[in-house]
Amino acid sequence: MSDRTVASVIELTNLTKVYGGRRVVDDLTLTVHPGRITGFLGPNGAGKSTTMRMILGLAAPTAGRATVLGRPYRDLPEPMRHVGALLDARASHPGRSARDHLRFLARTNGIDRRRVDEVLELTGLTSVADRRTGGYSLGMGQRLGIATALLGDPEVLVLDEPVNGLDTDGIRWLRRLLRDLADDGRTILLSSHLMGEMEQTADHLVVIGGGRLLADMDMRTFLASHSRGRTVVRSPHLDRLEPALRSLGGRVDPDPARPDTVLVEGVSPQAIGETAARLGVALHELSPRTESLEDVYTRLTAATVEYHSATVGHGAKVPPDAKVPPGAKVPYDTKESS
Amino acid sequence: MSNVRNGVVASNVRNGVVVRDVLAGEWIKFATLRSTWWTLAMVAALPVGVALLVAVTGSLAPEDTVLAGALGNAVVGLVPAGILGALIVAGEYSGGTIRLTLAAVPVRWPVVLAKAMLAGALVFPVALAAYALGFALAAALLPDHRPGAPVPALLGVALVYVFVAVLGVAMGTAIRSPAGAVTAVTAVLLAPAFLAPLLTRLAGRRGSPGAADEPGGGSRVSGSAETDSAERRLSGTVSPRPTRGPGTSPAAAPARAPRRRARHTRPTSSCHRPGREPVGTWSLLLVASSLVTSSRIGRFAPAGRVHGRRPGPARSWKFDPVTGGQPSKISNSGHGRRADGTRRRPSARARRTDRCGRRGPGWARPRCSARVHCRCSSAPR
Repeated sequence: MSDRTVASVIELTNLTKVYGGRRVVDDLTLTVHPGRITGFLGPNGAGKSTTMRMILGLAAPTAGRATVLGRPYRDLPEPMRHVGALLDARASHPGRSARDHLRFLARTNGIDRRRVDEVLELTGLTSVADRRTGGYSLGMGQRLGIATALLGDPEVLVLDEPVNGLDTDGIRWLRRLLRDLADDGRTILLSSHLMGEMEQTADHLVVIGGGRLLADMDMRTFLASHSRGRTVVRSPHLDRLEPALRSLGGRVDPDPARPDTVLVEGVSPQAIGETAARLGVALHELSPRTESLEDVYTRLTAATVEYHSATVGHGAKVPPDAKVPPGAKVPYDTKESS
Repeated sequence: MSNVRNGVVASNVRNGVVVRDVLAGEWIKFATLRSTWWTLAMVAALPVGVALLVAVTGSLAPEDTVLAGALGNAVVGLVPAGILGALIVAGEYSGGTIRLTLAAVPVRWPVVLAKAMLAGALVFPVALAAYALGFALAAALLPDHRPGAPVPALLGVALVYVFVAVLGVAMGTAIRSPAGAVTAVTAVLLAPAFLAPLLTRLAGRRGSPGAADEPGGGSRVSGSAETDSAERRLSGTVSPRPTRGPGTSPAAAPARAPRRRARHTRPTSSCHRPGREPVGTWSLLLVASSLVTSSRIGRFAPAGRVHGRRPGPARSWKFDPVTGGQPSKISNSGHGRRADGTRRRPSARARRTDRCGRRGPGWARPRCSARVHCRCSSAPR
C-alpha cells in the first residue's frame, strides 16, 4: 500500500476478551508503529495469542476494538495483501503440498501465482514444495508459515513464535529478513518466548501479563530502566570479602550455580577490586554483568502474577523494594518517541 | 472512514470478487487433496455398483421398471455425498487451515457459501452421471423389464445429492470435528430409513395420517406410478423380511415387501409414500443445523480456546525464577496485603466492572459479549 504515512498501523483500543468469565485480555490499549520490529512478550496465558487473533479478526473482542491500517481487519479488502500472519506452524493440511497450500491462499486474495514460487524460493522450500506437508519437520512447517505470511507482500506482519523449530541458520535468516522488512518501513509485531532471540531482533518491546499492558517502550530503555548492574565475583576467600562488601552498602547474593561465587549489587567493580586488594584476597573472577532481557522480563512478569517471595537464594533477606520493579505496580505507558 | 465496512464489503460482493475468488480457492483446496477425490469416487461408484448388483442378481419384480432397480437403495449412495460436504468444512478445522482461510477471507459467509456451492456443484454431475450409467447398465442387463422414464427421476436424485452435500457442509460447520460430522451426517441419512417403517406402522394404526400427503403429487420427482417403488427404494425402506400379506405372489422378491404392504393398507398407489418422510426429516434437520451453523459462523475459537474456564485464584508461580527452580514461599498476597504488610490495591478482578458500570461477582452481572450486549439502564461508563 502506498499509504505509509499512517503513524500507528496496529491500534488496539481498550481491547478486552472474556472467555468463560476469565479476562484473557484486559483493557489493552496499544499502538504498533511502522519501521521497527515490535517484540510482544508475556508469560504463557498472558493473552498474546488471543490479542493477535483479535487483530486478525479470528476472535471477536468482548469490548474495545482492534484496527489495522485504520480499520478493522474484517474490513480490509484482500487482507493478505496488507497483513501477513503466522499464528501456528501446523496450519496446513498434512495431505496437501506446500505449493498447493500457498496457491489456494493466493487465489482467495487475488495474488499472482508467481508470488507463490517467489515465497517458496525466499523461504528455501522450493525443493520440497511439492511434497505433502504432513511429512515436514517442525522447521519446514515454520518456514511454510512464514512463506504464508509473506505471500501477499504485506506491509504489516503479525508473527506468533516464528522462530520455534527453526535451526540456527533459519533464525539468522529470519532475523535478517525481519530487519530488512522493518527498514523498508513495514510494521512487524513478533512474539517469542526466546528472550535471547528477542533481545537481538526487536527494537521495541510490549510486555503484557494477565492480559494487561506492563510495558511499552524502546528495548534499550527497557533494559536500562529495569536492569540491576551486578558484578560476578569469584574468590576462594569470600568469607573475608563478603563482610567488607556489605559494609560498603553492597548486596551480596551467592550464585546458586557455582561455588565460591557471589553476585554483588551496589558496589562498582573498581571498588570491589580495590577492596580485595586491600584485604589481600585473590580474585579469580571479577566481571560486571548487565542483565539480559530474560532477567528483566522474568522479574517484571513474576511481579505481576501476584508472586512475592519472602526469601531468595540461600536465605538472604530481600529488601521489599528490590523484588518488585518500580513500574510493575502500575502499568507503564512511557512511550519513547523514537 | 465512517462507512468503510459497507463500502468495502458491499462493493466487493457486488462485483462478485469475494465469492468468485473464494470459490476458486475452495476448488484448489478440494482438488489438491486425495481424500476428497476418494470420497467423490465413492459417490460415483456406489450407484453404479448398486444398480449392477440389482441387475446381476435379478432382484427386481417382473412389473418393476429398470429405473426402480437403478435407483435402489440410493440412501447408501447418499452417505459419501454427505461425508464429502462434512469433510470440506471439518477437514479444515482439524488441520488448522481454517484459521488461514478465515484470515484470508475475514467475512465468513462467503466461505460457507462457497463450500456449500462447491459441494453441491461437485456431487450433482457426478451423481447424475453415475445414476445414468447405472440405469444404462441395468437396462442392458435386464431387457425384459420396462425401462421407466429416467429424465425427471435421475435429475431428482441428483438434486437430493446436492441437498445432502449441503447438509454435510452444514453439519461440518456446526460440529467442526471430522469424525463427529461424518458420524452425524451418516446417522441423519440412515436414521429415517431405519425408523420410517416403524413410524409408518405406528401411524397406520392410528388412522390415516398419510392423507396429508395425498395432494402432494406435484412436488414429487415424478407422479407416475412406475417411480413409486423407485422412490421407496430411494428412501431405503426396502425390507428384507419375507412378506406375509394376503396378496403375496410367489414371484415377488423380498424387496417388494413394502410395496405390497402399502398396497394392502392403502389401495391407492399414491396414498403413502415413505420416500417423502426422509426428505421431510432432512429438511427439518437442515433447518436446525443451519440455525446452529449460523450461530457458529460468527464465533470462532478453535485450538487454545478457554471456554468454560472459571476465574481461578490469582496465578502464582510454582518456581522461583531467581533461585532457578526452588519452590518458594508464597505470601498471603490474596488478603489485601503485600508481603511487607502494606495494603494492596484491590485485584483487577475485584476492581473490574462491566460496561454498564456494575461491579460484583460474575454471576451477579449480566454476561456481555460482542454478540450479546448488556443492556444498561444508565449510560455506559
